[in-house]
Amino acid sequence: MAMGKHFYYAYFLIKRLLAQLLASIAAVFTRLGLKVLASGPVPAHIAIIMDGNRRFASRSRIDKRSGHVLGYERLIQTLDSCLKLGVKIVTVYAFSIENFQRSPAEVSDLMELLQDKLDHLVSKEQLVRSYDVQVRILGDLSLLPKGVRESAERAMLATNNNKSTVLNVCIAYTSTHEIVQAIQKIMDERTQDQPHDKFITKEEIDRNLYTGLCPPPDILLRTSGETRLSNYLLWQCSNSYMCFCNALWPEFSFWHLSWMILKYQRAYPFLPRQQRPSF
Amino acid sequence: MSKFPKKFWQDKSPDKKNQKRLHCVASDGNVGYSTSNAPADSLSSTSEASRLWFVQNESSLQHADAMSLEVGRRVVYSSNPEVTCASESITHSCAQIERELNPMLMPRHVAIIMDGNSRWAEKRGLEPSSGHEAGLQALKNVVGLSRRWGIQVLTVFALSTENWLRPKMELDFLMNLIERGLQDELSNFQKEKICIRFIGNLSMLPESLQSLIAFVERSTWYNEGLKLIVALSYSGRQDILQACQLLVAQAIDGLIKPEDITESMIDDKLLTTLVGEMRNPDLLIRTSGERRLSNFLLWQMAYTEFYFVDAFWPDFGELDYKKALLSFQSRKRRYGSRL
Repeated sequence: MAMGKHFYYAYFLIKRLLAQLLASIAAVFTRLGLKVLASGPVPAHIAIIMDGNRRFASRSRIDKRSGHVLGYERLIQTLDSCLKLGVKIVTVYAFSIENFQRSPAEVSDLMELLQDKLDHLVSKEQLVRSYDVQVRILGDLSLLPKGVRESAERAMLATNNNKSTVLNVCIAYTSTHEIVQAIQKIMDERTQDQPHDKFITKEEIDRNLYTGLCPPPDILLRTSGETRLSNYLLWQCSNSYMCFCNALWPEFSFWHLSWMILKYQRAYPFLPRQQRPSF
Repeated sequence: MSKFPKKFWQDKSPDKKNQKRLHCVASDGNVGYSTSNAPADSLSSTSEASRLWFVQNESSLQHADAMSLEVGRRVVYSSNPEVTCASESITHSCAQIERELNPMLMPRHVAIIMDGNSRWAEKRGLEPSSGHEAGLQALKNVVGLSRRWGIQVLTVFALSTENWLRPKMELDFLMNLIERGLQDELSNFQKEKICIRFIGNLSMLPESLQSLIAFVERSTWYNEGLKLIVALSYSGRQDILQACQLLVAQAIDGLIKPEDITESMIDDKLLTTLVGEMRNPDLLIRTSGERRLSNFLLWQMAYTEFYFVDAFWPDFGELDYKKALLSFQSRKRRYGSRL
């Protein structure tokens, strides 16, 4: 009986060691892959539409909330890979104004999740500290419930002084709404400075959008195989390279990311000159 | 192992398990319901239609309008490849239906970025001007196909503001080509009732072309058929900017309050407002394999489906167009109510 117990322990030990070995081999390959990718042009700004959480949940027979939690974890992993690669700005589409039309139960679940994860992101994620990430929440925060709004403001305040990299999270955002609020901001400035100046420029609109002084995205990625923008960064993406990936967001792995970067690098020589990021 | 999440490639289309024809719609609008494998029997006595379409659920039959029709991923489901009906006039096979376009699911507004003329010519060792000539032929073909298939608005991106940086000789040739094209096709437009309109910064074009454009627009103003919108010297950002400019001017004049500005106000001021409620394209096709919008119809493409073709524009023919439309017809459009 004692021999049996020893075999039992040995079996689990070996299994754990093997898992660690495989993980370290995978990590070596990942680092190698990142070095290979970094030898070519690397995008400075990636925009991501994280689509497919609910479809993943229904396929895996788990509930939708868990699907979104897995989506958040996938976001952290993807962000880690992107920042290791040298990407400076990542903009993600978390919640659209149109999504408020979903069932109230689902919306309240999502709001609760957003609140939790925003607090978790800023207080407990190593990523934010190690890469000096400035977290910005883009969107009409007045449409959000009080808890989420306060979490968002706390997150922005806590990371305000981080200047190396930026994570823009679009919550309660649509691009058409963004342009309308940019005009309203311009009008507010006008009434104070030059009330009769009717002329507005592209730079003024650029400056007053939620993305502010960020350069336009170099890559726009949408997962889950849908090929549409769904009212995301319409003004900013006029010359971005658009990538559509068939994987659902919780399945989006480092290899999908590398494939996307490789496609971008292949298309890089044909991009308009002013769109090329300096690196 | 059953709890292990399935990879997406292992789970192609679960709906295929229960393939039963449930409802059937004839091309003349009659509707029949059946859960058997021969639904056509119920229709054979009431309609002489030559075509039948099968939709998966009843809700899709309530709206005849193609825009609001929402069907599953595949319109036709059948375990029985052949359908023969009692009446001889309705004899059709499901396999044939699958390969054809469904007129009820046609996009109302198709936008096309006609890219790749110069590269097409370079590949064949020709001058870029031959590429543009071939491109014009392809455009004529596509306009004819759109009219035949019942598309109501076709917007084509002929010249962008960024294209003004091209060599002067090429631009002169392009202007000449557009003039010749318009003069040759004017009688055709009148015959086929095509209404042609131009959007963009037309003041940058030569005077002769501007007056010809004005003449052609006036002549075809009241035509009821396909609306062809040609974007010449057009920039999507400039379009949004001029709409915002108009609203800012109105706000400064005190006609509207800044806090009352809405998205539909900007919609009404954009250059595509001339087609009314069909101003937003349902499908965008871009040729030559580029994956960019290149500053074309930015605001209007909020919910547009994209389709990218690797062929260059002069090679874009009926088959590519049909594939693009079939791809569009198989998509589920949610308009943002679920991201």
